[in-house]
Amino acid sequence: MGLILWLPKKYSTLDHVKRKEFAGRKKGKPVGTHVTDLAELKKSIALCRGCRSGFSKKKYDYMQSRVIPVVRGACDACKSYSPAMELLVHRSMGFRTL
Amino acid sequence: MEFAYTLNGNTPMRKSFQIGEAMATAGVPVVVGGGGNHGIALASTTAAVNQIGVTVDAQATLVTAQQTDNSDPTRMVSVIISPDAVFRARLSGGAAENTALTQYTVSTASTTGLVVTTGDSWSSPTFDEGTLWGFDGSNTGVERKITSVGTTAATLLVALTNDTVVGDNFLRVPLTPGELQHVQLTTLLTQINASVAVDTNNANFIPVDLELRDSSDSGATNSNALVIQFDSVFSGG
Repeated sequence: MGLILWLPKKYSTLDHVKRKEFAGRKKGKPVGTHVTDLAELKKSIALCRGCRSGFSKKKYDYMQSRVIPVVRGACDACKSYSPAMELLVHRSMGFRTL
Repeated sequence: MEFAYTLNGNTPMRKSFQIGEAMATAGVPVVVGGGGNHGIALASTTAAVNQIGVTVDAQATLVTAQQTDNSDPTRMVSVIISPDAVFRARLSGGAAENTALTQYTVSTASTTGLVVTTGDSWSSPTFDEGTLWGFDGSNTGVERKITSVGTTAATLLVALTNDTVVGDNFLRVPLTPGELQHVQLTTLLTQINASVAVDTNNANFIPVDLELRDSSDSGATNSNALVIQFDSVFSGG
């Protein structure tokens, strides 16, 4: 029988951070449903160029954030990384207050 | 607090994280929840160790139980995680948000411009190594670093532009750009408590710049600090 080694893993702070990262749209959940769920919860939404045309700002009273107009990261719809996405927020949170 | 810019000029990085507690207010610093915690946590007014970033939106309720409609109980917030992101925070004159900064009125004039004597204590809480600036009067808008303090006056190494006059008002803040001073946050974590002693009860942000306004621009309620995270988990240090 082969030798089995058990080596305890030391988790770093970044390991903890990675586990708490939101996985995004669940597999099988329609893209549009996920984005409209975010909009109804008044969450910030970042969409890549390809997905942006599918979301109606006017319908959900959203606007491009004046505080952070552009962000990098994963598209909330297709989960692909984009270096420049419009950050859309609910109109109540869109303007600079400072 | 609001995102202002990144030091390297790049677009800020946004990520979403599960919350470990309710986060009813947007624009607050969040930290790693630690082992056994199911999500990220809020910083506190006096500590922000292992910072993740500052939130962009809010999530007022935390849900942990399985839902009767089988919907996902996970709740999340979006966070700006760029470790070089600089955030703008209002200077509050107390622990509560939007408290006006206290005005300190000159009680004894100075002909050297090196002493600001107001009769108030500048040593308890101490504002040594903090900053004062003219709110009105002969030195309106002039800011100086405080280099020593006493029970009735603050002393400067670099003189004010003009003599101080009895009746002139000054404002003060326990921060100086470029100094290794941490801040204390207000109750809702969105502003900086400028009434506490310099570098006391550290929430790990350090000042990059100050926007100090005078009486012509409601300086007591409209002055800000630009701060950067000192303990970001993404800084690679």
